[in-house]
Amino acid sequence: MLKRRIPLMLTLVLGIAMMIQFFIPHRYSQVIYDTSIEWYRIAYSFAFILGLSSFITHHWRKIRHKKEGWHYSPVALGAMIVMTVVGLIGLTPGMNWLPVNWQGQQVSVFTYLFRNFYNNMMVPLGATMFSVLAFYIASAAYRSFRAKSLISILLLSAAFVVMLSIIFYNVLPLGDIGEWVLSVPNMAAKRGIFLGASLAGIATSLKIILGIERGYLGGTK
Amino acid sequence: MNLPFSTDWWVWIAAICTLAMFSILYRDNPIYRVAEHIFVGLALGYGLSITWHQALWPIALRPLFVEGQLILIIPFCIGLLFFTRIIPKLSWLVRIPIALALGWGSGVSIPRVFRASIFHQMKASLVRPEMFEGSVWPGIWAIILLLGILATLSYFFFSRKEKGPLTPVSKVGIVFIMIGFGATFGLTVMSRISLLIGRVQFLLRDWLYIIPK
Repeated sequence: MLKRRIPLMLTLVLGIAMMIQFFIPHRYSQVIYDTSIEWYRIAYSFAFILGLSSFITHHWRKIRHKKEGWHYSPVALGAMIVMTVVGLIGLTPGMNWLPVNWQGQQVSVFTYLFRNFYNNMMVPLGATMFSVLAFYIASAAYRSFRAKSLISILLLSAAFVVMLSIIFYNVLPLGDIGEWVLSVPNMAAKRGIFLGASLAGIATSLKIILGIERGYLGGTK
Repeated sequence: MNLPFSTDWWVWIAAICTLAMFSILYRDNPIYRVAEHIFVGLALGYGLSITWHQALWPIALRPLFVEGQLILIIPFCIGLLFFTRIIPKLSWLVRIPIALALGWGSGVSIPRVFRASIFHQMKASLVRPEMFEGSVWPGIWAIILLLGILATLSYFFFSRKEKGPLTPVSKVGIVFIMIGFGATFGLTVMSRISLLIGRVQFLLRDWLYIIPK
């Protein structure tokens, strides 16, 4: 019983305390808030390490049991280990082991590798992965968009106007029409949805603090 | 000798990574899968290095073990509780850091969301007399904006059965929502297209020198 009650009590007490803190315009109140943010950052950097250990376990099991696609797991683990090593050593302030020339300055070979892995591998891989979505979005739109009713025509027209206004921004009046669509009807819908989502977020937060929403506790024990 | 392509081997690596990712457009293949796994591994290694250098070492380990700020044992121990999920008998303790995070996050967010996302948004949506000074159009657009927000909100009002005066208002709401979704779709497509242009520019300009720099 305590296994569920203690976390619920902690959520209630901390939630109410942090809400009250917001309304106390005192230096100490601000100190408490700043300290809590710092403690939060410390405690939850361990969550990242836990996620990392899950990643390693997952790929290690795949390799051990030779599951489907296990050949790619050493690649992922290898890339992770290499980037971690060069990052941990290369980002250390004042690091100058094995100096090499990088853009006219002397840096450690670890710093050099870290920057190049980031600029010439991570960035191109990430940008290309998201740019490929352009093809999928276009193909999905071609298959699913049909101007069958007034509201579907509105959706299609708004999409075309915004796209054309970006392409032909300097060709009047396309740029102006596109800006109007974005700042008036689009903004009205976005703001309406945003207000609703914010109210829903507040309601969910209250449910968590009051212990009505307790899905995060997992199981029943 | 001037070669018609880049001789920087890091540019070649970036080009190979780009082409490997584009190979998915043909079909799922081992080259794409290798590139995908390299990306995941690099991203995790990058995240770990940044977490260490920006959080764990400067605000946790150094103050605690080098500068002797013993009070930091508390967040340190809360963080360590995450690892109790590995030990079956103590696994329930992992609920404590999660409960603290949710309690803290909820308590911090409620008043701030009220202020930033409700009051400030409502204030920005009000029609004010000065909007009609000079030209009448900004005032008219502000009225349309306000009516659009109210109509959109009425579309998502499920507490009462949709009948009476609420029906035409929510029908106007769906018009605004569809324009909003269309505009969002257009913006998303254009952002992906600009990424695609960036990658093609890299291949043709920085790697193959087909486009002049």
